[in-house]
Amino acid sequence: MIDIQHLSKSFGKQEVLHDISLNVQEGEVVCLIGASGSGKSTLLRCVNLLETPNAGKIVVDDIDITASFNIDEYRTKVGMIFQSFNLFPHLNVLKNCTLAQRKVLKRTVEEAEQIAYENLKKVGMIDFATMNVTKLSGGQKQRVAIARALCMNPKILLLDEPTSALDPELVGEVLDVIKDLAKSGLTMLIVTHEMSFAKDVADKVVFMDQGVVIEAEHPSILFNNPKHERTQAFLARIVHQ
Amino acid sequence: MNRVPLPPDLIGGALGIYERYAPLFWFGVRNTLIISLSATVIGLFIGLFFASLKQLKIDKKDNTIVKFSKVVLRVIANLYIEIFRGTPMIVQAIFLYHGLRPIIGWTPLTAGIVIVSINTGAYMAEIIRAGIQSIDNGQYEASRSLGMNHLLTMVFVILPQAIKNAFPAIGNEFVVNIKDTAVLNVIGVSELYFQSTAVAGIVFRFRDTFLITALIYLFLTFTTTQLLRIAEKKLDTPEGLVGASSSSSKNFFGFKRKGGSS
Ligand SMILES: Nc1ncnc2c1ncn2[C@@H]1O[C@H](COP(=O)(O)OP(=O)(O)OP(=O)(O)O)[C@@H](O)[C@H]1O
Ligand SMILES: [Mg+2]
Repeated sequence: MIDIQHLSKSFGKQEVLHDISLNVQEGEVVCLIGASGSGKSTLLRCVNLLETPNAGKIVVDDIDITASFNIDEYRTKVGMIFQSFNLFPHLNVLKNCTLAQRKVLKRTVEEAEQIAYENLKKVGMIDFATMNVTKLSGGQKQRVAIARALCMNPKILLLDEPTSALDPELVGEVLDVIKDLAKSGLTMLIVTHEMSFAKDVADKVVFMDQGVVIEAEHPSILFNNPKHERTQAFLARIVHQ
Repeated sequence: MNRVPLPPDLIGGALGIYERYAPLFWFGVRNTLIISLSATVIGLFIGLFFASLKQLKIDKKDNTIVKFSKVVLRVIANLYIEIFRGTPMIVQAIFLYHGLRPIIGWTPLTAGIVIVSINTGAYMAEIIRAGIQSIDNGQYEASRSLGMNHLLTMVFVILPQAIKNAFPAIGNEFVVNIKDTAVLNVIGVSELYFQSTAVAGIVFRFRDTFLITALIYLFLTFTTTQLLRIAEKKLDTPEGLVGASSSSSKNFFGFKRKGGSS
């Protein structure tokens, strides 16, 4: 579904991603882990073309997205969840979910609202539909952000540390929603620091270090028998924290 | 009308003048308000337009023609803003009014509205630009990641928030315009200042006349300021045009950008 081939990305002289190759199958959940600054966010943002790669290819559904094509249409199929939620503060919960449906997918108000309600229900936020998003807790905001992305019927969901900005007691409610999505068969690429969550939900865990993919394995292998020294060192550090 | 001479003192003179010439003053007020209000609204739209031009970013994927037009549009926006902020409005008024009169034959009032609008537009462009900058870049990215293009994102996500953040500064432009329309007397617009000089010329009492003028200006600006305050409070409630700021958005002068988070 997503086939990343020899991807490189530099900011100025600094090479942040170096010759990354990675494959995500349809329905697979892939978790990206690694130290801060290792390039996880940049890789995720490349898949959504929020960053433009310098070299290499990203082929999604047999289309090379790094070649020129309709970027906005592509983005409706690839949802993105941000650490800082990025809900639209001037719109209420429901309108956050209907804006792009109406303007991009040209759905009618009724259609858009019905789909919004369905997705708000999925994330347990249907009772908050008319609320101002600024009044919500962090966990609620992130669940609305997920609903907003789902309203576009994405084939792929990219999540960049979806729970890192949350108070510890709110992390669970968001992870539960993501687990449900994983069960429903949605293809997801998730950057996370929640190792037990990655263990639970991932079909593949990718460990990155300094812009390079060190190891990509099933969680049972990567967490229990990491082959590479750097993976071992990273996991050891995590455990001791 | 002038049978009884005006009392010689300031207060008595002023009261006497107002009693006799109130309609002349209020005719001036009418024009002052017409010009400053319409020019503020038109100026806001001009400002939105030029601020958006200044936002144009060159994309690596653009072809040469698109790149070139973007650069040209940006240069035009910058020139406009620099020229109209960098010259006195009184000079702009004389130059444009007399320069264009032979061509389009406009009245002083129309010319006045156009000139103040253009001038306000230049300031509004900067106000809106600052308003746009105050919006967290994550808003832009979230909107684009939902498939909304640059234009949709600006119109439905960025500008509503930018305008709300910039509302105090936008309102301030209105108050400034109420006072600054006074310069239009040089092209013969019968606004409040122009009318006051006419009255003072009839009674030959400048001091007393302009006490009335000052009080009327003060009344106008004070009332406007209070109304704007009320409107601002309305905007801050969830039921207003737009909701309160989010955890990530910054206030108008904050200018903080999160650069797309970690
Ligand atoms: N827009 C940018 N301009 C310049 N450098 C950048 C930019 N974005 C990221 N970088 C740099 O690229 C490197 C990788 O950043 P990235 O955000 O991808 O790391 P990360 O693995 O997501 O880290 P974290 O766990 O802290 O989120 C860092 O050194 C960062 O400073
Ligand atoms: Mg990151």
